[in-house]
Amino acid sequence: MTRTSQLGSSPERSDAPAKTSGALRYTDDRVRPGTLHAAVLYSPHAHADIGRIDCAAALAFPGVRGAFTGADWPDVLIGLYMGDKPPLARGRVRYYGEPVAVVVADDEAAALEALRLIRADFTPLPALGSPREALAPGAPILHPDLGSYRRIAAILPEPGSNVANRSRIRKGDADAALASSPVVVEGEFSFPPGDHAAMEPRVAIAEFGLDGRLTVGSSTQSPFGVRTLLSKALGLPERDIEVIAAPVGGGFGGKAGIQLEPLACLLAMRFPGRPVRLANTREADMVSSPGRPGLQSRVRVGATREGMIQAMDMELLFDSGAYADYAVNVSRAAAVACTGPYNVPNVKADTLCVYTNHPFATAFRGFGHIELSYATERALDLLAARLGMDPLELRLKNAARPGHTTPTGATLDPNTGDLPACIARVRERLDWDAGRRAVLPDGRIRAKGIACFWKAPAIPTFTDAAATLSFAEDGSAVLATGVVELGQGSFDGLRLIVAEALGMDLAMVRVLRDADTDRSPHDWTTAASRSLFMAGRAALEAVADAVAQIKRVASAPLRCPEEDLEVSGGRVFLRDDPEQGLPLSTVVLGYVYPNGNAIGGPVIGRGRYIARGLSGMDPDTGEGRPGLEWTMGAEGVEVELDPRDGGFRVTKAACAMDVGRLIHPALARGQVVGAMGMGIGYATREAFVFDSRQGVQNGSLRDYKLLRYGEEPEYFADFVETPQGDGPYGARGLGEQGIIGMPGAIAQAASLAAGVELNELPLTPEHLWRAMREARS
Amino acid sequence: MKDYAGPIELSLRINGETRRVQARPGDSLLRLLRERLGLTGTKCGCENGDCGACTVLVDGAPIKSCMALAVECEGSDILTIEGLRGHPVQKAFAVENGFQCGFCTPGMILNAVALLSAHPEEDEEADREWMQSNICRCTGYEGIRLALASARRSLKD
Amino acid sequence: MMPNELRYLRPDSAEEAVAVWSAHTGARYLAGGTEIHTMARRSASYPVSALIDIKRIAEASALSIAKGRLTLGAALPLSAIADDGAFPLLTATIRGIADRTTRNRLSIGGNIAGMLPYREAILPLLLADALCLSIAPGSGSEPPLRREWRLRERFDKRLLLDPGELILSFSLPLAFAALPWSHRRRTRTGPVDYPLATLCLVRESGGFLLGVSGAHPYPVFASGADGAAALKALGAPKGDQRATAEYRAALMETMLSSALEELS
Ligand SMILES: Cc1cc2nc3c(=O)[nH]c(=O)nc-3n(C[C@H](O)[C@H](O)[C@H](O)COP(=O)(O)OP(=O)(O)OC[C@H]3O[C@@H](n4cnc5c(N)ncnc54)[C@H](O)[C@@H]3O)c2cc1C
Ligand code: FES
Ligand code: FES
Repeated sequence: MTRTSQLGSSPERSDAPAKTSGALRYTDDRVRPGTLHAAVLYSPHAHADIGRIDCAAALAFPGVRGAFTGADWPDVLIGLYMGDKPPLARGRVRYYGEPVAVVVADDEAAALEALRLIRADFTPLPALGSPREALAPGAPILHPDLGSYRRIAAILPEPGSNVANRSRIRKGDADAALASSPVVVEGEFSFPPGDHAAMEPRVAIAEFGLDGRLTVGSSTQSPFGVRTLLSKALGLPERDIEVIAAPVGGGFGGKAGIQLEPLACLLAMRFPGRPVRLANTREADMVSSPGRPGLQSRVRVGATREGMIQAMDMELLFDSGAYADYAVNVSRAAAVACTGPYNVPNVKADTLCVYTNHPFATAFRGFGHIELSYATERALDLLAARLGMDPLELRLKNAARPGHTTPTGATLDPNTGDLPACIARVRERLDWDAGRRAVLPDGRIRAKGIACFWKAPAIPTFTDAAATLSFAEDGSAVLATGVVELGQGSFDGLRLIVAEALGMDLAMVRVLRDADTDRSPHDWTTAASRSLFMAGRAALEAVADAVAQIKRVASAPLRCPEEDLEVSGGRVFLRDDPEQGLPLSTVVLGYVYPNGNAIGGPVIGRGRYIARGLSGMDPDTGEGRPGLEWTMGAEGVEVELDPRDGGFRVTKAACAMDVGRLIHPALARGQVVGAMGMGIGYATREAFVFDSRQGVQNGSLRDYKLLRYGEEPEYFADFVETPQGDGPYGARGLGEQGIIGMPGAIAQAASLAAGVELNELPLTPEHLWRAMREARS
Repeated sequence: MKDYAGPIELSLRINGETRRVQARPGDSLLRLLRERLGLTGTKCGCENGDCGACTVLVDGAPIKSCMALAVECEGSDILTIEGLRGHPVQKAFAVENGFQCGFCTPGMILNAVALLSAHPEEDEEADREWMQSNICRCTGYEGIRLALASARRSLKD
Repeated sequence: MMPNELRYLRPDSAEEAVAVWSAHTGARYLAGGTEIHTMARRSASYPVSALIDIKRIAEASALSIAKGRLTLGAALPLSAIADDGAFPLLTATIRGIADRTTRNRLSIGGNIAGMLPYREAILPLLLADALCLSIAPGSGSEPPLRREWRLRERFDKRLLLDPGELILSFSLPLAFAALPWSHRRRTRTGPVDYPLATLCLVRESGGFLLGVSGAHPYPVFASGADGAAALKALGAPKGDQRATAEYRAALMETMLSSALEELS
């Protein structure tokens, strides 16, 4: 029996019927009758002392069951790596949109109407509008208690300042290398914070059962993480908490960590036996729940006249907003990869997570790599200009290869992707050598840009995944993992891996949809593009375990040693005499002899994986091995600029990435193309606009603009396959990477078109028009 | 003249069936579908007319159900994603990967169904005009564009 | 989300609508509802206690051509007007507003009577010196008062409607619809956004008519022997979070010159 491999084919997604028929139920599609609805009062100030909050009128409104303020939970602090955030503001609000009070009522309309009856007094304070302002001497200290917050050891806050984390890289001697470099360039690059804007707003529905157990349905990427953090925040043991993650309507990092769950649970504990639903409006989802960080940066690069990079000295200041959340680790991850995918022998970098009075920031697709990439790629553009060198050649020359070391001193092993091959593909796709800049007959200017990226998951050293494989009467297999479906299609990748390993028809393999901490095997978090890699490894082990069990059972009725058996095509059979065998359906739940005797019992395959050989970073030099596998690639764009009014669009976007092994090409392309589209939005329009007191002026989809149909460029997505030795069938992560190089590539192309270096985002038409006008005068 | 105050019983034609439902005059069509009829295939992405996730067809035309009161739809034919079974547009979205997280998908599909019946022939300008009503955050629109083209082909055959 | 105690009224005639308005303090006319839904969610200072749906009033929903005039019911959704296409400048202007699906509800009367600064659909009507038919409650026990008036006469930054006054329709000479016209619209970035500037330009015998929305806090229009004179008469634009006044001024100039080029 021979089967052709299905790996590398693109079967229809298994969730297509559910998602195209409306049958799929997301978290907010599972509201039970009798549910209470919470509505939140958000701070109208970015920084203010809270005076009196009067809820009396709200409490008297028909249908209202309760109204609460920060004073109701005087001791609770929540945080992912550092507990710095109260569930409702206490004493002080630190950002525009911070939750101040909450009303719980029988229905949502009543809760919302009652909310309008709450009277809250504020005394505004001066608001910090950027990391540099927050680091200036005399700046107000937003977290006076920074020194006493509960935190993990890898995070290094500086109490008495607004620095929530500082990660340091000291590799070689950057100062000396810069002093002796014949060519040195320096630049400052920045952009404001923005939002993930996943189409599903966040929601949590919590019930504190009359049996004392807490159940939370949440639109989360990390059910197990939420369980752990809830346990810490609420003082309930993990065994009494169940977190259920239905498929999520887009995450992009914004639903990792812990979000609405603590407040929903605290409220539920006030109303035992009744579920409490806390659902974000779109506006709250954008401004009150976390977004992505902003950046201010300074980069110096020293190189030889031939363009070999000698050293980088850089400072990346992440605007984390009012609370640290994931951003402390984002800034740490940026340190690990700070140079971008280039061989830089001497590095000095400080990456800081800084508190400001902006909406707080969390993980975002790319996890610190868009930021570092934008800064380093822009600096390389300055270098290329100074050297008079093609920016592509400069990158090719310095591309990181196996044997080189990363900023933390880890050696790139032979598993490392082939960056030069990726650059070559982009070069071809954009017809790079035909010229980088042209003036069209109608006066518009067409220009090209290129950037490279790398990323390794910034994960705890003990990051894990697990899987179980069980079977039904028909011999079909069911894989259970703790992975959450966010749209990335992990389940279809896992399904292909299991089908391949079992030699089974794809239709006979299912992957369980909901992740449920009571039922699913443990899984760190669905983030960092690691699900296919880690859960894939666990799935392979589960298959191997199940196959061994199947052979053991079948060896008795087939009267042969287990070693002579093979499992494939839905059968277990003798390798040398395939006619002799049994259908799996007669074995997987136990084999029954003709006389009624039975052996075996249900087969359950068990698999697990834990990150291999990771270590922490030295606090002074950054030395260590914090990154698992490195995914590398190159991206390029072609843009068109109208010099008269700054009208601007990206017409082509190309990405070539070394993914190790393509498991499901259509899914991979979808991830890359979607990420590029998001990157175009990031570079050209997406950012919060703040007023002079740091209030958000564009906190709705009416004002915060996302890419629409017809605005997308022509996409090219190419894959290079240098196998990842320890990846499932050689695969490595690819979900986030496609966004990383886009801002840099677009800024390069726009700068070339405009004839002026553009060092700030977003590149709106007005921004371009202004820069061109200033350059002329 | 109609005059509705307080709790009312509405009779609406939804997906070819007449449904009687307890409602309030202030219920938007979106909330009525989701909260009172359990038709949760219609999604709420903004409740402000901006995202298109709540798109349903009323008398064949796409509307944003978050911006309409259910009472306004008395006497009209309402089609939600649950009423669409095995339509070529659905198949095309499945085959061409016109979705990822799926949250925008019901609205996208219904809008596309109406678009293709109004513009059976290839028409990039109409496609853009219509499809710009819906936001997809995941796909970068490539799969959606392919799905439209493929659905148009199969509807013509 | 609408309050729990909302009352919904659906009159069959204009007279009935006005009478119902008088009988319910705080009532609003409901057309496309796009502004009412947005405001009811967003603002505590926008009470909605009763909505009077005007979409089944026949004369507010009709589109007709008679005696050389085009008449547009105020409750007509923008898509219906654009798809009809009898007034090409209006069609082009309408296609810039919101998005197609929203335009399937959003009414021309609601757009013009609304409180947002844009009200783009009013530009072609102002340029055309359209007539407006409205009905308002009579004072005391007087019967409702119908009247027809020139849109321009009661337009000062916004339409000056009396309390409870309901717009039924707009009408304009078809001859105007046939004049050479040009339309330009620019946003901060993408296609579905409020305008930084929407420009409507019509060439008539004496010179040019120019209307602009988005650049000032309200729609503006002017006429001039040449385009530059008309542009000057509009006054300086204003800045906001979407764009500075300077950029708007620059945009208006490039838009006008390309529009003039199209008409030459
Ligand atoms: C996503 C989106 C994007 C938008 N983009 C734009 C844009 O780019 N440009 C633009 O100009 N507009 C835009 N708008 C539309 C605008 O802001 C208003 O929402 C719209 O014009 C209101 O029209 P409506 O028919 O929905 O009015 P309604 O919401 O029904 O009513 C609005 C107001 O007008 C009153 N009213 C309605 N009809 C009449 C009448 N016949 N006589 C007297 N009073 C009446 C109502 O009582 C109410 O006070 C957008 C709206 C949305 C939802
Ligand atoms: S939910 Fe209706 S348009 Fe977004
Ligand atoms: S598939 Fe996620 S928003 Fe479109």
